[in-house]
Amino acid sequence: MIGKLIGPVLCLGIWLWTLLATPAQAITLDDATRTVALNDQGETVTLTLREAERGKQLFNAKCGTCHVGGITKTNPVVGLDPESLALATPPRNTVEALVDYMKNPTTYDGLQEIAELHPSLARTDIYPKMRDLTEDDLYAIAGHILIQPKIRGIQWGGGKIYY
Amino acid sequence: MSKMQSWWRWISLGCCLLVGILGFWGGPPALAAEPINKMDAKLASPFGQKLDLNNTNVNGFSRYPGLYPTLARLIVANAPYGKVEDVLAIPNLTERQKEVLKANLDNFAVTEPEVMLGWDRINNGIYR
Ligand code: HEC
Repeated sequence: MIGKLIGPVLCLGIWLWTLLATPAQAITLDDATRTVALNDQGETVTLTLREAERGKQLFNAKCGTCHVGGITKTNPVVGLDPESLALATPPRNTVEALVDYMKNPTTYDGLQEIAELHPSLARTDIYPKMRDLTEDDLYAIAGHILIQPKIRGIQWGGGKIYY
Repeated sequence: MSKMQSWWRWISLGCCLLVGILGFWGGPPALAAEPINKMDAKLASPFGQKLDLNNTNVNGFSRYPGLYPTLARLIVANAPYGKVEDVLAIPNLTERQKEVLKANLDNFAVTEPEVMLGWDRINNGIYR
């Protein structure tokens, strides 16, 4: 009796499990995920779904060549993962600090301006890709950088082994 | 069975026993002391825990804010140091840089410069 039933019961169980588990595990961009640090005074901001989506597109188009997956291909020491951003001087782990970087990039210790070496609005003559970015665009890109680790964890900025 | 064969059997048995006993009592003494290579020994020194001014590579200094890359480069270029405080004597430091260094004295250590590190002193190729 039990021997006969075990097969069908198992099948049903697995089928039910996939049915129930999939929607729950699928990553949704809910409000909490879209809420990120705005500045170092502890204020936060919630991106709209549209902004988050736009941030992703812009990031991939303007920054992805070097920063794909949150790493920095051309200097892996300085990544876009939360830890790297937090240990920068000044800390770059907020929307405002990231927008500031896109206007005036500096070395990791904040001692030198590197607008000639890093794309930004300061030198659109040598980085024409940056020309069409509006203030809203910078905000969306910054938001994307801070949202990603909340979705992908260590995969954001973790490097090749986590792709 | 011939007499020759049984004699041969006893000899081989004796040999086996002898080798076994010798092996048991006279085994290699090497394992008596915990084996440790030179690099493990170095890692067990402060080099393994703190930023070793004489040995830590440039990227390693990104662990604490304000040190990478400018001060890290200066520190490596002006090594070796006899004691941690000697780092403040690097020529032409700005006031700001001196402050950052002073705030980090506790994160620094000084051990013998290790030749074995070779280029790893500059970049050990481990980024993550
Ligand atoms: C040509 C390659 C390249 C492109 C394109 C690029 N970056 Fe970078 N980025 C770098 C490099 C290299 C660094 C490390 C600079 C350093 O050594 O201080 C860096 C560092 C950063 C940092 C500092 C990270 C930290 O931990 O402090 C931020 C923020 C950043 N980039 C954002 C962006 C954004 C946003 C874009 C797109 C608008 C972008 N980057 C496009 C190469 C690039």
